[in-house]
Amino acid sequence: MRPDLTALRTQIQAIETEGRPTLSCLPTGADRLDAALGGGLALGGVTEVVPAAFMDEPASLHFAFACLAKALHQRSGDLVVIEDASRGQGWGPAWGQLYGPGLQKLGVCPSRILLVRAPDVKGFHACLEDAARTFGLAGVLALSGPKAGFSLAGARRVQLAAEQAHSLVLAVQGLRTSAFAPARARLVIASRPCRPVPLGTALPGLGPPAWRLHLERARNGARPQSFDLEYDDATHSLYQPATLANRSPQPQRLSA
Amino acid sequence: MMLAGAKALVPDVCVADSDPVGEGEDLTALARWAMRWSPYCAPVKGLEGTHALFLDITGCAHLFGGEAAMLADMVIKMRALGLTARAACAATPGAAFALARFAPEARHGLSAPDGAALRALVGPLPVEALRLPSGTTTGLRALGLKTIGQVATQSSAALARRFGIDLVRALDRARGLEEEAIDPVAEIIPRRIRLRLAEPLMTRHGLELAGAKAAGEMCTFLDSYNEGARRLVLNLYRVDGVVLQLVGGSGRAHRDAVLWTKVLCERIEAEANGAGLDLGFGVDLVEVCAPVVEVLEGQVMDLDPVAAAALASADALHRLADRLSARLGAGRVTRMEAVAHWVPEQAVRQVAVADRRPQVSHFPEALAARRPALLLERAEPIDAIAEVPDGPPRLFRWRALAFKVACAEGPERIACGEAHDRDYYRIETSEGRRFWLYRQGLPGKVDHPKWYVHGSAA
Repeated sequence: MRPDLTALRTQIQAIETEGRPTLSCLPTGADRLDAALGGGLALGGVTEVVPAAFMDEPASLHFAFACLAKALHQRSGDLVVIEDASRGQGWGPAWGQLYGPGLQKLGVCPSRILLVRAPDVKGFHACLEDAARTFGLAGVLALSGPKAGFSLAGARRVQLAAEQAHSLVLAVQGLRTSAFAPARARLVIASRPCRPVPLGTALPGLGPPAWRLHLERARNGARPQSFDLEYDDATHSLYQPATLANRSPQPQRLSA
Repeated sequence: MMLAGAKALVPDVCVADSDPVGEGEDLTALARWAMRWSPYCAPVKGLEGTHALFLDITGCAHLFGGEAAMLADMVIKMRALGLTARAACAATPGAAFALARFAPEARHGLSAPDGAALRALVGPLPVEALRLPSGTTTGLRALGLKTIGQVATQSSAALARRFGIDLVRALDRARGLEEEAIDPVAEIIPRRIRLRLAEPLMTRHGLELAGAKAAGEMCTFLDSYNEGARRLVLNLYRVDGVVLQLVGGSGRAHRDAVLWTKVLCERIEAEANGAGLDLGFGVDLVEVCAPVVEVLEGQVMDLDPVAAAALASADALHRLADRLSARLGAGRVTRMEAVAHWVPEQAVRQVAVADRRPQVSHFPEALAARRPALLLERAEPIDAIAEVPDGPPRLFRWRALAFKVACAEGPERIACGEAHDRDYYRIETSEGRRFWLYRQGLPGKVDHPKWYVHGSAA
């Protein structure tokens, strides 16, 4: 990076933060992703998680909970999940409701979750701002419906509230939700076939869930880049799998 | 008079059917409003065509400047509602009723003395004041006993033989000799703070200030009893005889005036934004009651910084939950609770945090390992091609999209009764999307088992 550009970035950051304390980070565990994000997910800021396609919406939520499992492990307090329920019950009727046992599998203890269902977009924004301003939470997860896009001012208020309380805010957006402008980073999640576990049956067993993460933009100036990620349910850790060359071959169907 | 006769006299007379049920409801609403004078308030039952309220004002009168001033206040307030009211106050409800109905002074409120003076006052009143069935009063009149005093001169044994024991009891009640129980119209809540306002409140802002003041006084009040409230009820008595009620709850008992003020203000705001808070001609009495209280001992401050931080963070979360429950409604702020049930959709229950403290829930590890993170409200049918007889699906079509299954794990069999037994599979499609599918009906028992999607992010 050219030195004058770096100097300019520092200058802009100084103007942006106006002497507020510099942000700390929560490492996700995937080294290259953490390096690109400048240490991990921003504490005191909003990180946007966006599905690459409509069918990837569950995957983006899956990934968000994988990150929050880490947050719940490392930080005290509870996780507040705010749903925009203006479309009906749950996170849109398309995917249903959060399910306790499945979250526990990911390492998110269900009894540490406070679920808030906002009846409309306005309430959703107010609740998110309120939760982001609350000290001592492990994290805040916002599940936006398609119409829950933030105005510039509203988004900035949430961002400032999060900065004030050092909260970790993940905004899982619907595919068509408008972007959250002041987010520290925008992560686009796409599903990726996992590494199957050969079981000797006709169909192989499921390996650890795998995603392709595209870092679309980040406030620290990292260039857009993609990462392959996997999540280990047993150790509750997010990691980058071995490179393609080392991957186990696709299991062949055994001939009779 | 017949209706035709009345119409002949006054051609544009207004006619309406009698509506005893509606009148009863109105009387109950009026009783609710009359709780502004005393919480022990009830409509009098068993009267035909006349309406009356009983109020037990024991210990209340001095708040209004004595019995006479209180009665005058009642008459004036009722008149402002467009009602013709007569009020009397006596040692027993029976005597008060008799005086209110038939003593001429009751028009402006009559405060009767006790003992012999009361009996002298009740004596000249007609026998109808005894609240007896019309058959009995007609019988008394036929015997020439027209007033309570005349009936009282008879021997009670003879009266009981002739008219039944009810007459003797009614006589004693009317003469201030026998008490009578009142069944109050609403629950009596001992923890109660009221603010009487000189000028009716017309604005939301004023209401919030009054609510804050009452909540503050309530918290001081609870402090003296070492109690904390789980729920506060804000009653707003409108000038025009309507009582508005707002309820604010909390996930734990506390007596923090600032927090309760916030919760009540959130409720006022939510009400104003929702159905609309109709203050009519203003609110002249604001009341805060604490129907659910718990003993709350003082807390020792923790000097260990880590423990103190954990305590502060739990406190902050409670405040957030209370505030959001007040704003959105209790049912919208919930926690998950595990239920020991093998049917997946019934294994989790949502508990509103304002209602009760949810149990710490943990699902069996082995079961959780096979569950998805998102569960559909209702399983959706799919077209699937599966190995026969009991293999996992290979291809399926859901919401007009075709999926090819690359990996599968299962089956996990869940018994739901013969034809509804389910075989669950966790599957991943060739694009890496994970679903939780099941086949309903066991192979061999059902000819064409049906397939459903029940969850995603499995």
